[in-house]
Amino acid sequence: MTAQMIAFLGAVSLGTWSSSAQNLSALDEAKWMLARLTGVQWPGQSPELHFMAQKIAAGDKFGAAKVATSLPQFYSITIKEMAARMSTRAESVREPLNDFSAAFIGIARDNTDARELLYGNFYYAYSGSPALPSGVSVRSMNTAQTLNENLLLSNNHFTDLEKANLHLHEYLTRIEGQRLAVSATTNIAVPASDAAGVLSSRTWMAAHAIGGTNRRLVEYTFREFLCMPIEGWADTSASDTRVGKDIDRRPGGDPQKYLTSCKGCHTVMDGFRGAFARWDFNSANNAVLHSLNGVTSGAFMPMNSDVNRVVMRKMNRDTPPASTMFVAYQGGWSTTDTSFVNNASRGVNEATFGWRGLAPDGAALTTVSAIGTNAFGRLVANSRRFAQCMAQRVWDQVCQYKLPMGDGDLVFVGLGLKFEQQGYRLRELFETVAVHPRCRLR
Amino acid sequence: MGWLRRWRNVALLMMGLGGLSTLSFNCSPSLFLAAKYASSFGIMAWEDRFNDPVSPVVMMTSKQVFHSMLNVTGQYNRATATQKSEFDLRASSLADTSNPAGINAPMQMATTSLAGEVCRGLLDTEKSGQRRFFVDLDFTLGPLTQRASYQASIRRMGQAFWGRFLNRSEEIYLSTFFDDFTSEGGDSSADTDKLLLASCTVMLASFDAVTY
Repeated sequence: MTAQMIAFLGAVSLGTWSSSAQNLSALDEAKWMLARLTGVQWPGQSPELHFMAQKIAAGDKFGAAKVATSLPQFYSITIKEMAARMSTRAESVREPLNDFSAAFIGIARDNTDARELLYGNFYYAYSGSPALPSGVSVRSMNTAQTLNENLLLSNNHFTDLEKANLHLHEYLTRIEGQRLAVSATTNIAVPASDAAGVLSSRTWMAAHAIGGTNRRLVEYTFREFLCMPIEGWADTSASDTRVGKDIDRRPGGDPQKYLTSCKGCHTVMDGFRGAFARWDFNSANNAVLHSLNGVTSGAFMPMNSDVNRVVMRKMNRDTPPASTMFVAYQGGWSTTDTSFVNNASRGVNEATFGWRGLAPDGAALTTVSAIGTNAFGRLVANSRRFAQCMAQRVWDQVCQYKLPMGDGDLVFVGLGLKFEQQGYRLRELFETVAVHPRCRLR
Repeated sequence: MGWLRRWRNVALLMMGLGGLSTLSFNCSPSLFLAAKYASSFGIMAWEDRFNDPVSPVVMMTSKQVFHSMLNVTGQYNRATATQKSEFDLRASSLADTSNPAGINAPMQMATTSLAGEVCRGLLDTEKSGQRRFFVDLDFTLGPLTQRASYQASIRRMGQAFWGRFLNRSEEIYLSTFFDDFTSEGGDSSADTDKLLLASCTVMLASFDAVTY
């Protein structure tokens, strides 16, 4: 409890904070704001509620919102549930705490640049400090073996943290350098060019790199971080040079179908797909695989990597004997490195996404050499759309209703700009949204 | 020849209308898509728009319900193993979206069952001496002689669980429940426990306690 709050409680006990109509209205607003930012109801007598009401009555709504975002439930429930929805294909709040959600909680707690979620080389976990309450145990990650067992090859570590009902923001520590299991007992650093915050997290890879052709990794990056489903960015007039060999150019014997339908999504998706060319996920041992992990036998060997072991075989599907049946068009693109091109930069797409080079400094995108997941994450994170999408995510979490079309554009563009001006601080975005005049329906 | 001209005009009109309907419906879904996606932020929202509440009432998700129950009863930092396992058992029946239209019978039963465990924890805490809600109640006596204390308790629960004072009809309903319960004849200390547990559960599992 802050000194300010204690002073306020003194004022209440002395009766100096009266129950005037203005204060009752402020109390009503404080009740709503506190519940929406923390995700739980609060007793009518709680000091936090009355402290916020006092601030609202004094015209300091931001100050009131800051009281709510300083509470443990803001992190353990509100931030966690928003991240949980974004972390898997199911998009469900039931998803347990995982490395993806932990990163969101950590970034919000540290009040650092949220763009790092898409390109930072770090993860958040409990590193042993502060001490856990008595009777609580969390499977550790102190040694290479336990790190593998409890974090890199399972979700044990985070499951324990959540089951213990801890104040998560007090126990999560930022740890620099993402890791990759290469055996049951050893792990290596993720190559810097492919370390990309939550995009290279175990949860994200388990959801989107499993099987398939790694197109889903692109699709869901756009869906979750740019609030744009695949049909929204399809562009049939963009170049299809990068479209893979597994895409039939005459589906059902009709080339027009490819040109007017299939091509639209694949131009953009396949253009970016190279960024994830080295990733795979082995569901048999829950291991995230990287084609350059150096393993040549056993369960951690990138079995599906290409013959030259630079990219995963699933990127090309043209290497016998695995999948000759997948070759639908020999003239399709062969992925040989992690370069990618941005085919969502034409016409409406350019205006919609607002590409501004790579975060954090706006460096130009180049495709002349291998680039990787990190650069892809930096490109997405620096787009105008990312800020606007985060504003929409927070809006959905706090305000809990959809704005009418058109109004949404205006509101999210405005909130996105504010988010950028505030240095992409996620916690401040929550506070800004909570005090937005249209957030609360009456 | 006049009739021929008339028929030709009608045929031309029909063809025109047919062409228009074909262009804008069956054969040109892209025109619909263009309208549908006129607002880029509307894309994700569009299909859900009619499903999502456009009202101030929002359902809590499963974890929110559990943590909210713990929070309003003063047990946020000390959920018992029984409460946690009850939550694990019931979580899949509780809401995972904020839409009140998703309320169904299994959800109500799960909410009531979870509220029961949380209220049992509250009762144990109060009986151990940390009185917040059942301040004036004597747990060694039956409920019959403690009507006023009971009413004070339900008012405190209302203010904590719902963040507001009980309205008249709610107070009458709960007082009637007290009368019905005591008229059954039970007046032991165990009956006091049962009465409080039932009253707490019904209030904690109510609509106002699981929406925000």
